[in-house]
Amino acid sequence: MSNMTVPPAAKFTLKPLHMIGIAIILLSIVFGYYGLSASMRPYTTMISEAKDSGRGVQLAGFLGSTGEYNDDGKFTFLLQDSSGQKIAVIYSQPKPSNFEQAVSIVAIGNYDVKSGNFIAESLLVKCPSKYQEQLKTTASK
Amino acid sequence: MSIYFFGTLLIVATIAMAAMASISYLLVPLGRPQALVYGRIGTRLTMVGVLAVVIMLNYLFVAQRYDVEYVYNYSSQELESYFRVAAVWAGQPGSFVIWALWGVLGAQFLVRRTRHAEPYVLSVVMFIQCALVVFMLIRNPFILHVTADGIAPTDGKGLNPTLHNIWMLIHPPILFIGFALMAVPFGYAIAGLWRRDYDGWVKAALPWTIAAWAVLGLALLLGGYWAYETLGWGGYWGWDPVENSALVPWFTVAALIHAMLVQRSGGSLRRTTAVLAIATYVLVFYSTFLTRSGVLSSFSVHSFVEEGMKWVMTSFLAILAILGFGVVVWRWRDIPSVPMSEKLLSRDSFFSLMILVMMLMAGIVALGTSMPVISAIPGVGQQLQGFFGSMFQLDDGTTYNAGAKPFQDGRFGLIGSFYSTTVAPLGLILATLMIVGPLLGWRDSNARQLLRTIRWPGIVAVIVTCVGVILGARTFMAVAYLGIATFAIGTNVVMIIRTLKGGFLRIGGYLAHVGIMLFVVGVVTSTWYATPETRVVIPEGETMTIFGYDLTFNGWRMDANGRGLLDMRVDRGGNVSTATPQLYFNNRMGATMATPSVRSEIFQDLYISPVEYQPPFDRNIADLNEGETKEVGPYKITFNGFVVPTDHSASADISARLTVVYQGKTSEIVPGIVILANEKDPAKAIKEMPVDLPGGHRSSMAAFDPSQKRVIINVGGLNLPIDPARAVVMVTVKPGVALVWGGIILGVLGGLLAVLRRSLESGNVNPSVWSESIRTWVRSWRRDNTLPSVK
Repeated sequence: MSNMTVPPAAKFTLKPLHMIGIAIILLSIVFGYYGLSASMRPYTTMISEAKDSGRGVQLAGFLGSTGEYNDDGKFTFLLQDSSGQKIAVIYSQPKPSNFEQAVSIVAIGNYDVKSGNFIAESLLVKCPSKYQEQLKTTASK
Repeated sequence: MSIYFFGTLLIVATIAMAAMASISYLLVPLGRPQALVYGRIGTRLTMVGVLAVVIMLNYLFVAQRYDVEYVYNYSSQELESYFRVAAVWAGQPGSFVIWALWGVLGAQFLVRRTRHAEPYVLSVVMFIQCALVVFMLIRNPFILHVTADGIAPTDGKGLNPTLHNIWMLIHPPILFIGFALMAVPFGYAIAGLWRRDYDGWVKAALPWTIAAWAVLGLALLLGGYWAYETLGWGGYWGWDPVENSALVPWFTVAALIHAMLVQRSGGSLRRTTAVLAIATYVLVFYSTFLTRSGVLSSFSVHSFVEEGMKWVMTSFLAILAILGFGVVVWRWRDIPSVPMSEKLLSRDSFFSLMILVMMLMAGIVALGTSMPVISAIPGVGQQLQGFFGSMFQLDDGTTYNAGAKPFQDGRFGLIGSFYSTTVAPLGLILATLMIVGPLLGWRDSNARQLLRTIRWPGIVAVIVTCVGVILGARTFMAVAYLGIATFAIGTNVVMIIRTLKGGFLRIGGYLAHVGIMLFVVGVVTSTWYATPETRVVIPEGETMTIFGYDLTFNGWRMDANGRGLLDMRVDRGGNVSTATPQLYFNNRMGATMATPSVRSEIFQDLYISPVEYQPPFDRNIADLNEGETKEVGPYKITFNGFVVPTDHSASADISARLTVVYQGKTSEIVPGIVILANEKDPAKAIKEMPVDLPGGHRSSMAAFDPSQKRVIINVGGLNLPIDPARAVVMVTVKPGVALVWGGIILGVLGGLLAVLRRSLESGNVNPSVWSESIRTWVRSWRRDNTLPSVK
């Protein structure tokens, strides 16, 4: 911190340090682009839209049935969208703990053409505000 | 005086005091030095006010005042007293006031330590505390609970069982200490820029900044451990917005520390430190905004629904950003810039690359977390979907073009894989920088000497990598991480050994590096080499073997607190322990509670998540809803409905109309029960009326539920086997989890050592008796008393 007299700004030249820096930035842009393309999950409240797109989505709806474990041991329930259409959701993880309380539910995953079911990678269970607020504080890390 | 009136008055008075402190301090540099005393008084009184609010809230919880909405919502009679204290921060307003409490306590220290910068720093810090208390007022915790009949409730709704554990007591307060500490470098940076003291603020703020990093790191660790051990989210990190939003400032504050060190050694990066200090705090608030204003409620498991906070928080965030960055812009041209070392092999160069990578990582995580908000801007979401959404991978690995039709609702979120694909390669670069960076001199280094130093760590790294590959590390990322992280651990250990000669206080930074790299190794092994989550069904009393563990299910039972659990015995080569994953229906919450059980060993963790408890299944019984058909032995039984006679004068009886198919022949039977009205002996009052079945067995009505139109029919004489109860669990073995926790703890310890060292250096510790004695004690450990920057 000794050098307080400022030399006139030297003409900018591209040094190895700068090249490394630019390379790192480019690398993160490339990875960022691929990450975004692969991990993007559009939000939809229409089952028909989720079916037509063929890609991974966040499908928001309401419970159309109580959940149960099917013969393969996977958790399954009916999701109902605002137009009343229903689709079977299959989830390979255990039933979310606050499932019974769900006001609405967001299933992240994709429509499986072969089986006609929605295969969920994860489920966001939206509960009445009070419960949610508590869960939130749980995780405010 | 009502609680509501008094409590609200306290909050309003506290806001007024904080505002007075902030404004009075602001007047000092504007030519009114006499305002200083009001600033100080205001700071003291704000502390009194916040303490009073906290004490009053605590009192209401401990005194079980369920007529107060907040207490009613978060507490109940059965709650232990220390959890009543913790319940204070179970909701929004309480957590804001705890955050403000740490802020005002810190402010009391700052009054004595900031010297010339006092009015500037404290004006900013008190402004922030003022805002926190305002947020609290919006969700006033003293509002009374209004019931329809006007009678105050005698019991509350209770604390969510997931919060009912030790982590609730320690994680939130520590998190808020971290957040409160972050305000200090922010205040100092603004003070430094305003006073045109571009170097002094860095010296004074450095220990606070390192402390903020260490405490926030500890909070992240505790939060992760909570998620892992209690909440059963499957892992310690899920890239949820709530988690990410605390991670982003942790990244930028790490960058800030390194920028400050560069500036302290050679005077360069003055603008970077100022920008980073301000950006870090703006990000702390941005994260609070994201998780508390409700903007992410459709995208996060545990985000608040909107509660009227959105606009207040948005405005405050805007004020912070405009104020902070405005001051930087104002002084930008005035800040003298000192060129960094021209040499690539210098700390200057490596530190600036580290800062760049950290900022990129923070930017990427912040951008990803903000995507739901960004894409909610009308039109923007559809545009971005068109740009990024046209190409995506299907499960079978083919790339698919959807014809690029954006979804009607433009919003979108990102799943966890976004962060692992972007942060993982950047983290690898960071680890690479960490191999060489610490070995370098600030301005230049001798390449030959450098090579000689890294020889041994390099050899060790190669050996460890080979062992890793033999043990099964296969993917490029895993092998690279293993090699580079061990290499970095090696060189940092070399530096620890070297610097120990100059006193143990100076190893803090290197120790933190070692900790972080151990953590990284733990993350790599526990994520990429965990066994797949496997569903195991264990009948009661039997043993199943999985991943080398013998799991025996002893049955479902209640513990002393009324929580149901699956009682299991775990045996691995004679090393026996019990595992009790909890699984029960909580009536108060109306939800199934599931808590995993973790058996931690040195090299790996056995993680058991409860899925389902299947009660014993009796094959002699048919449990039927109306219209339902079930098979019992050779019979096919259909339940057609109840028969209830109209005359109830002498007895009440109820029967079930059943259709029975036996060997192709259909018959109708009506088994039932009679309840005698004048019978004194209860054992005789209820009489079964069984009906013989065509195959020679007897059918009787074992139980009925008229409201659910459900009946249980028992077929006697078949003597079919009864299936035992079963536990269904998900089992996974995660190697190296201990390194995750141990690494962070080591990193935090390193950070705390650095805090101590930098406090002594900056003269930040008051020459009181206490600190003087530490100082002497510390000096006695040092060989030399000089404090040069590291060789």
